[in-house]
Amino acid sequence: MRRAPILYLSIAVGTMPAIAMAGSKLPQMDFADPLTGAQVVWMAIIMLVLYFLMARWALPQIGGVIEKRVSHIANDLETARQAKAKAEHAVTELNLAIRNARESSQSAIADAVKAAKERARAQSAELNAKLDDQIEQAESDIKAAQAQAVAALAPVAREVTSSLLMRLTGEEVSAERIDRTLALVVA
Amino acid sequence: MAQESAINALGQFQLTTGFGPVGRLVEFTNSNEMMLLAAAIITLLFATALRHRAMVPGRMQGLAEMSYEFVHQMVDDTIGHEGRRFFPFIFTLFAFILVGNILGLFPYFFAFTSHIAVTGALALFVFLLSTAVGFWYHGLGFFKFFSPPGVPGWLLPLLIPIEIVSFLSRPISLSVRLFANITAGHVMWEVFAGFMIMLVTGLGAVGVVAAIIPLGLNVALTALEFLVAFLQAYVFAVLTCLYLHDAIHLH
Repeated sequence: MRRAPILYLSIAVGTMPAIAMAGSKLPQMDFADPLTGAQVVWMAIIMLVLYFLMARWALPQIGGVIEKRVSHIANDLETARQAKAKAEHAVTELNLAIRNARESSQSAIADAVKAAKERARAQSAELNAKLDDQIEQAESDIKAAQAQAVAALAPVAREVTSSLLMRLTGEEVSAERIDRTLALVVA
Repeated sequence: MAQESAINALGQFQLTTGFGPVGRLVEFTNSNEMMLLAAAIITLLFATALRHRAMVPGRMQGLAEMSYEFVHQMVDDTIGHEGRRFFPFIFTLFAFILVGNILGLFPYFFAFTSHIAVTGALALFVFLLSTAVGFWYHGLGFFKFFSPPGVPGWLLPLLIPIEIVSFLSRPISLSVRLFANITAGHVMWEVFAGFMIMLVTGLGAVGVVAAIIPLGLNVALTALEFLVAFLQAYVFAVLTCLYLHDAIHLH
C-alpha cells in the first residue's frame, strides 16, 4: 500500500520516545486492569445500539431521501425531454404551415396580378375605342366647320372685291364675273 | 529525574471510570464515555439530516448523505452486489472509528481507538464475521480459499500454511494498525509538548525561543493526525470489506 511507509514511520517515530520516556508499560497493555475488559463489554452494547439505529432507522431513511431525489431528477429530465420533443414537433409543423401559406399566398398574388392586368388591358382598349370615336367625330366637325367657314367667306369676298373695284375703277362689275374670278383664286 | 513523572506521555491512555459512582459500580470507563459521545454524534447527525429531508440538502443533510454515499460506494466497489447486506455494519464501524479518532484529537478527550483491547475486539469480530460468512456461503468449500487456483501441486504444501498464517494474522494486523497509529500520534504530541516544558524549565529565556520548534512540530502533527484519523477509519472499513469480499467470492 502507498500509505505503508508513512504509517510505519509514524509508528516508529511515535512509539520510540514514548518507550524511552516512560520506560515502563503502556496502560493499553495492562490486561490485569478490569477496566480494560469492561470497556469492551460496554463498547459491544453501545455499538449494538448504534448498529440497530443505523440499520433500522438512519440509513434506510437517508437512502430513501437520496433515491427520491434521484428519481425526482430522472422524472424532471424525462419531462423536459418530452417537452423538448413536443416543442420540436410544433416547430416543424409551424415551419410547414408557414411554407404552405407562403406558397398559397404567392399563387393568390399571381392570380390577382393577372386579373388586374387583364382588367386594365380591357379598360384601356375600351377607352382607346372611345377616344378614336371622339377624334373621328371631332375631325368631321372640324371639316364641316371649315366648309361652313369657307362658304361664309364667299359673299364677304364678293362684297369687298366689288367695293375695291368700285373705288379703283369707278365702275360696277357684275357679281357673276367676281364670283367666277374668286372661285378661280380660292380653288 | 523530576520531570519524568510530570510528563508522563502514557498517562493519557489510562482508563478511569466515568459517570461518577454509578459508572464506577458498573465499570463504565472514560473510554466508554467517548464511545457514547461518538454514537450520540452519529445519531444526532442523522436526526438533523432527517428532520428536513430537503430535495436540496443543507449542510448537515449533505454531510450525512455524503458519508452514506461514500461508504455505500466503498461497499459496492469492494464487496460487490452481495455487500448490500453488510452495508449497515460497515457504516457503523466506519462512522464509529472515524468519530472516535477525531474526538480523541481534542484536548482532555480520550481516544478509545488507542486501546488495543478495543481495536482487537473490533478486529476479532470482523475476522469471525468474515469467516462465518465464508462458511455460510461455501460450506466446507471455504477451505479452498487456502489453495489459490493455478498453483502447481508441489507448491501447495508450502503455500497452504502461508495462506493460513496470513489469514490468521488478519485480525492482528487490523487491530495493531489502528491502535499503533492512534497511540503513536498521541504519544508524539505529548512528547513534543513535554520537550517544550523541558526546554523552558531547563534553559529559561533561550528555552522559550527554542520551544517554538516542538510547537511548530505539534502544529504540523495536528494536521497529520486529522489525516490519520480519517485514513485509519477508512483503512479499517476497506479491509473489512476486502475480507468479506474474500469470504463471499474466494479471491
